[in-house]
Amino acid sequence: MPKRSIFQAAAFIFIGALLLSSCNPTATQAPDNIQTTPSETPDSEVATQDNQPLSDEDDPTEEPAPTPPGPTPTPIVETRLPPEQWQAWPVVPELTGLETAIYQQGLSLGNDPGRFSKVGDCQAISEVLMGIYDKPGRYVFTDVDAHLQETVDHFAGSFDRDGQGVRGGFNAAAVISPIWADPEVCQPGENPIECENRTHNPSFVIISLEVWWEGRTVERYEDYMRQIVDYYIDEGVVPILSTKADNVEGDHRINLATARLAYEYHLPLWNFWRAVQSLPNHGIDPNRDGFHISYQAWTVRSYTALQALDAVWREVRDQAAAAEEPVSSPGSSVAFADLTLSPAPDSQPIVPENESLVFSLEQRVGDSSRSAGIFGFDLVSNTLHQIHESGFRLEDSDSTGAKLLVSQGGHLYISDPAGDDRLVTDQLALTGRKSSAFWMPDDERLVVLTGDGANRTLWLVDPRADTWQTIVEGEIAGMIKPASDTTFYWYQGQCTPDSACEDNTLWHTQSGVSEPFAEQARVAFSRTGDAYAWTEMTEGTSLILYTRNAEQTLQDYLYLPGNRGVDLAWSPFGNRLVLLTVTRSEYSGRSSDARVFLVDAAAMTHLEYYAFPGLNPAVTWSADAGELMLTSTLAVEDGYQIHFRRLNLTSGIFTDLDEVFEIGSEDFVTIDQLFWIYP
Amino acid sequence: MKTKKQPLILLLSILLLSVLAACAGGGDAPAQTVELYHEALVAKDQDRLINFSCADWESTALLELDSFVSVETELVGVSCETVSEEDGQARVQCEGVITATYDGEARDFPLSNRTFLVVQEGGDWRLCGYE
Repeated sequence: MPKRSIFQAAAFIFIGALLLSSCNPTATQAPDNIQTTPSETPDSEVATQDNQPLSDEDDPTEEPAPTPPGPTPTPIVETRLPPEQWQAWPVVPELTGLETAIYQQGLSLGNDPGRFSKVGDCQAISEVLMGIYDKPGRYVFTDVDAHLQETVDHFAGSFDRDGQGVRGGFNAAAVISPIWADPEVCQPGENPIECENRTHNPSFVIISLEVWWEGRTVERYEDYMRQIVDYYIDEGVVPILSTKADNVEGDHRINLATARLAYEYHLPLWNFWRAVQSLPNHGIDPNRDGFHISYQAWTVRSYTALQALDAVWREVRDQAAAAEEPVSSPGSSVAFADLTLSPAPDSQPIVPENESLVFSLEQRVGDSSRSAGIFGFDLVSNTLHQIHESGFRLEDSDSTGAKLLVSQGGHLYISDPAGDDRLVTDQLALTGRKSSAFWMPDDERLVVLTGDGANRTLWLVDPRADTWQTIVEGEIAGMIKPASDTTFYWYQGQCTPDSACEDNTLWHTQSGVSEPFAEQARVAFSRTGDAYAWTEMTEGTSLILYTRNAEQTLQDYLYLPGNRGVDLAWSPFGNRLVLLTVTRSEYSGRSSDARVFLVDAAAMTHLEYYAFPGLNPAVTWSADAGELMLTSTLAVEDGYQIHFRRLNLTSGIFTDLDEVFEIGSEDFVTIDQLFWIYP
Repeated sequence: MKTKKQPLILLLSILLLSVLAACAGGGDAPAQTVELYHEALVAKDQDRLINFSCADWESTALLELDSFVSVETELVGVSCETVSEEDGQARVQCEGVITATYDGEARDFPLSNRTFLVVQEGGDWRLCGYE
């Protein structure tokens, strides 16, 4: 009956394998439905490695089948004292690194990073274990431990609750026995910890068991604890084990067993036993049964548990951030200025019924840059919402704005506007292009580019079934948002380690066959995929806008003023184009204001609207094709400010949004991606 | 006289036991198994509990037993009845509760909200799960 986790076995040999097997949802959850080779999907429209242009040495028949990208295995070396010396283990856990992998796995499963659960008996109820931290004014931190307030704030709401995993009389067997689940809350067949996990959805769990009972062996306790630990690891919840204060069994064999489990699984151990050794009677209530702790020990218990939680949370947070923060300038440590945002953003989700802008920002200092976060601006209520903090950027939005694709370094997440994430991969390709992942037209599946250098793979991913289907592999420097299930456009190119890519040839893969398509480095496809456009510079002060049908049988062109085309976008209905051009001085390097041309794609005639100033001009269509959102970055007295202008194409009237919201920074700041969400 | 009565007493005893055994065999044996299982459970008698469990249920039975070890338990008003029986399998429903008390706080575990599955294994009825 006890479920033996793959973690457990792997930990003996190589925790890297453990990480790979446990933290890759494709490996642990649905290994059978991952389609990795064309031969597995003979009828597929997209699976192919044939005719791809990439390295000549590549022989698909000799290559191992590609595997969907998952977390990279990392060996873990235990530096803690052996478990037999658990009494010398520190009160606050020493960490192994496995916690981060479990945590990340949990995020991909939808666990709430701001919640923790408790599993225990009467010594885990909120009065005894951390409940005070949900009661401001009931506790005080000194200067030394003032940092704990951040942890208290982060996990607010989890402290003063017992949940389904805590009850007087619980033991390791009870918490996994369905008979003990509260039928008012839990579903039939659920045991208390399954019920608690479903209802609270934590990222961490403090497990504090066990009362000793006569006639039961410690092996039985260990067996049940393994089931508990296995369950939580599989659910991506970081278990924090703990020792107990009492020694009713006489030889501390339960604490030893707990330490052995912590050591074997590489899990954090909160050594509560050690924390109370300096208290009278070692923290045990002398007037009770030798098991219950004294009132004085309650405070120590809550405080040291918070320290343990704080240590684990900071570790996983910092490790994740360090791994995910894109490094634009190796070796540099640039301090970016804070953004100035007005109105002050809140962390509430944007209202899905309201027209909104969802955008990510980028800050630059010298050669360094960073993603400065993802925001939503509600155009109805004029409220600003921060969806993700710095480090995150937008890759794509589905047609409704309900599902965003966001990335953090090499991690790709499906995110809702509230900022709740589900990890898709941690091997997202970093290219010189804006996006390495797009929603398919059905808003359900994705195309995702993973890997690096010449070993990139373009996947068709169904995140619901967790299936990964290879579209093409090789030197892929970027792709274009697909307009159909049958044709995928991507750029062949070499990328240097800093992700700057030379990508001048556009390829397409149709029905498993890949062929060169065009020699344009930057093209814009209509949303239906039946036409595309690009610009070419001329010798003089004009440029040529070309349009061509996807069959490449019809082409048209139009001369327009300006020597640089800076943004080009098809209208949602595919019959018009908007092109922004600037004239850049070869002498000073400065660019003119951006000119706005609206082009009728059928007649190749155009209208020009008022130019607008600023750096990095960009344009986004409204969903009804009646308006444009024009953005740029203006140099202002104390830095830079992003300028949003709304252009009504019928009236030609601009509406500046500066009066309702402003985004600025002492550092250069610009719009990285913008989606106009139109319910 | 004494020696002459002994065979008669022995004969009567055998007859009585045979009648009782026959009655027991024709009674609600699956229901009795469920009752005895729960008696063993609250008594935390592992050997008896296993005796009333089918092979597949043994580990779960032990888990349930261990889950009650930290609390005081008693059966209150337990009465079971077989609601269906076919091909060596029976379904049993019960009234009554297991009352578990810890530190003065009692909690009832009603037996009425589940149907117990009982199977014949090795000629004996054994509890083998519930739904």
